[in-house]
Amino acid sequence: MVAATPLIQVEGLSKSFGPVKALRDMQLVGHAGKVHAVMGENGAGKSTLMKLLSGVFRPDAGTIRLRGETVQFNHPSDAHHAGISTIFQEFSLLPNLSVAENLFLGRTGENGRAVGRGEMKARTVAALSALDLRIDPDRRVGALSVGQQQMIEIAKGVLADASVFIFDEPTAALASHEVETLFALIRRLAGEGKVIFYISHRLSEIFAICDDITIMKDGAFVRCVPAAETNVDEVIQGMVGRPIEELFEPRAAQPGSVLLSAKDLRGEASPHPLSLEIREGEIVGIAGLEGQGQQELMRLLAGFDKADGGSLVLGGDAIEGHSARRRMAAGIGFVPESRKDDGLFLSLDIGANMATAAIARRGILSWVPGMRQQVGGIMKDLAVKAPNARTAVVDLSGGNQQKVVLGRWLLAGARILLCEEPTRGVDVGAKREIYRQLRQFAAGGHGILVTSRELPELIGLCDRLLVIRDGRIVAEVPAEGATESELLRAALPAVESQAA
Amino acid sequence: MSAASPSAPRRLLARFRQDAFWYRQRGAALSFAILALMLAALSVIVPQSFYSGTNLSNLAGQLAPLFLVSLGQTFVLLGAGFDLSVGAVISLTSAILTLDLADPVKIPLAFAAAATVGLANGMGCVYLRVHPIIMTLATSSIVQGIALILLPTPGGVAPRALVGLASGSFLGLPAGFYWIVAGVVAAIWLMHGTGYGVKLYATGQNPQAAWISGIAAPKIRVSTYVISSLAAALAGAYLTGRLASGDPNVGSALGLDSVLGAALGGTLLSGGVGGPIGTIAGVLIIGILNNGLNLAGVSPYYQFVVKGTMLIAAVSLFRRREAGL
Repeated sequence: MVAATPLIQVEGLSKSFGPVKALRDMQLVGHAGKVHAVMGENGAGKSTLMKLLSGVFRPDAGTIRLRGETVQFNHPSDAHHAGISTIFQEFSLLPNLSVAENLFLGRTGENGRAVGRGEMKARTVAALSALDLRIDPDRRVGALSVGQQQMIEIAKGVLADASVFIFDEPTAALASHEVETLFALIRRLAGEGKVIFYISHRLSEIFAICDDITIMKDGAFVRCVPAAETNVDEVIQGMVGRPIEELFEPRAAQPGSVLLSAKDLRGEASPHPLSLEIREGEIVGIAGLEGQGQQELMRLLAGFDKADGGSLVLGGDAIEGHSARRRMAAGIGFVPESRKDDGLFLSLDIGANMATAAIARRGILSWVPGMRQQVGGIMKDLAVKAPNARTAVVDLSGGNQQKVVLGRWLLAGARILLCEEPTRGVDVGAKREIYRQLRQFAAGGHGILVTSRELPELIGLCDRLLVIRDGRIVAEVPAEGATESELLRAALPAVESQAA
Repeated sequence: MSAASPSAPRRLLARFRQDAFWYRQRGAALSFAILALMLAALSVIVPQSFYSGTNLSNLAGQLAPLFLVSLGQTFVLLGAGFDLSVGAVISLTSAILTLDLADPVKIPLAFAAAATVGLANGMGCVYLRVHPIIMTLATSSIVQGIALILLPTPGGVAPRALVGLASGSFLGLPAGFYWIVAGVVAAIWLMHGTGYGVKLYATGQNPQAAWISGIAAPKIRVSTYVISSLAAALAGAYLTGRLASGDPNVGSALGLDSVLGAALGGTLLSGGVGGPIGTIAGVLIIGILNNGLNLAGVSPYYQFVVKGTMLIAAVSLFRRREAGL
C-alpha cells in the first residue's frame, strides 16, 4: 500500500539546552486517523519533542510540516492556531477559572475581539457535549476530578478544531474507569481523522490503543514500527538496548542469619500486629494492591509512625525507643518514596546530602573526618553521574538522585535499608543500576525491605516476597518462580479472589 | 432518579463552592459580612457621631487615596506580584505637581513619571526576575529620594484644577466620594467587564500555564505594576489638590496600607483569587475601624496594633486551601 501524504511530518528536529543535546535529528510521521506512540526512557527527549511540536520551545534546526507545508511556532498560540493541541502531563488549566473561561483563554472571536460570556457558555456546552461530557461551564476547574480536567483539556483541542492531539502520559493520574473513557475518546478522535501522539511508559496501554510506535533513545530516533508487528520485549530492547531479563542481578545463594526481626509491631496507622524477619544478604519485597498498609509498615519500622507495642531486634540487639533517630543510629536507613519531598535537600550538593545521616548521629559541632574522601568513594561505587560532590542535587536525574539517597545510608553505615518504590520516576537504564546497587548492598551482609507497585520488579529484585492486604501480611512466597497472577490472587480481597 | 437528590439549600451551597466566579470572590463575600457587622456595631455604640453627614463626608475625603492605591495594589496582588513603591509614587506625584512649572506640563509629567516607575517595577520583576518585594522596595527608595530632591520640604502650589477637583463638594456629596466611585467603577470594569480580567486571573494563578494557553503572561504582569503606579499617581493628585500644596512624605503610610486594604478584601497574596469588589470592603473596614476608634475616643496608636492584627487574621482566614500562601 502506498502511504498517503502524512498529516504531520517532522524532520531533522534538534534542540539543545546549553551543552545538553536534548534532541538530535529527530524524525516523526503522523498519518490521519492513527494513534502513534512515542516511547523512550526518561530523558530520551520525548517531552522536548512534544514541547517543540506545541510551540513551547523553538527548535535549533529541523522542520515541522503540516499537510506538506512547513510551519514555524514562536509561541504556544501559534501551534494552537495551526491545529496542534497538547494535553500536558501537568495540565495547563487554571484551577481558579471556570470551565468556559479555561476553554476560551487566549482565544478571540472571529472579529478579533474577546468572546462574550453568553457565546462562551453556549460554545463550551456544545464542545463538551461533542465529547459526551456534561459539566457546568461555570464550574471551577479546580473543583473537577483529574479525569474531568483532562477531558476539559481535550475539549480545548476540539474547540480549536485541532487536527493533531498530543497526549503526554495521559493516564498517569487517572483511575481505571477514567482510563476507559479516555481510550474511547482517543479512538473517537482517531476515527474522525485526527493524528494522536501518545506518550506513555505503560506498555500495556501502548499495545492496547496505538497503531504505530516510534522509539527514541538519547534524544534520537531509533525506529518506527506498526504496533501489530512488534512486541513488548522488542520495544524495551529498543529503548534500553538490552532485553528485560538482564535488568536484574542474580539472587543471593543462601541468606545468612536473621538480621532484623520485628515482632507484633503495632502503630497508630497500622492496628494489626505485624511480624517479619529479614536475613543477612536478603532482599525482601512487600507486594500488595495500592494503599494496603505498605507505607504504614515501612514508616512504622523506620520510626516515623509511633509504635504502640511490639519489639524490634537488629543483629541480636533490641532497639529501645521508637524515634526515627534511634532507629537510624541503630543502623536502619529509610529511602522514602518521594525523594524530592522527604528524601533530598535539592538545593544542597551531593556531599551534603549524603552526609546528613552520618552527621545527624554526632554532636552539633563535631567534625566527621575524611568525609570528602568517603563521599567521593561512594559516588564512584554507585556511579553517580556528576562532575563532583559539589554538584547540586537538583541538577541530577531521578536515578542519580536515588543513588545519592542510597549513598547517604552507605556513608552512615546502615545495616538495613527500607526502600519505598526505589525506582519510581527513574528510567530503565538507571533502574538497572539501582537494582545492582541494592543487591550489592545486601551481599555485604545487610538486609533490604522493598515496596513497589510494579510486581515484575519485586519478583526480579527480591529473594522473598510478603503479600500485604488490609494491613496484614497474608502470604509469604519465595520470589524465585513467583508469578504476577499468584501474587495478585493473594493481594486481592478474599471475596473477589474466590470469584476470580 | 431524584431519590437521593440533596436539599435545595445544600445544592445551592455546593454550586456556590464549585462556581468559579464565587470561588474567586468568596473572600469578598466574607469581607462584606465583616463590614456589615462593623456597621451594625457602630450603629449601637456611636450612632449619632458615626452616621452624621459631616463624619461620613470626612470619611469619604480621607479614604479616597487609600481606595485608589488599594484598587491598584489589588491588580498587582492578583498577578502574584507585590508593590511596595506606591507610597513613594504618591509622594513623587505630589512633588512634581507642585514644581514651578506650568500646569499643562507638570500634570502629564507626574503621570508619565508614575507610569515609568510602574514599568520599571514590572520589567524588573518579570524580565530581570528580581523578587517583587526587593524590586519595589528598591524603586521605592529611589523614587522617595527623587521626591525629596524635587521638594525637600512641604510647600509649593498645587495646580488650580486639581484643587477644584479634590476639595469642596458637588450635589451635596464630597469630592472624595466621586474619586472613589470613579476608581471603583474603572477597576471593576477592567477586571470583570473586559477580557483583561480573565487573563490576569490566569496569569496570577499560573503564569506558565497561562503562557501555554496563549496569553502574553509577562506583559500582563508588567501591566499590573503600571496600573498600580497610575492609581498611586491619582491618589497623589487627589492629596495634592486637597492640601492645595505638595508634601514629599505624603504617601509614606499608604504603601503598606494598600496591601492591607486589598488583603482584607480577600485578594490572596499568592495571586489569582480575589478582586476589586472585595477591596471596596477591605478599604471600608480599615477606614471605618480608624474612624470608629477615633469616635470612641481610643488613642490612634492602638489603631496600628489593631490594623496589624487584622492583617494576620485576614490572611489566615482567606488563605488558599489547595496550596499554601
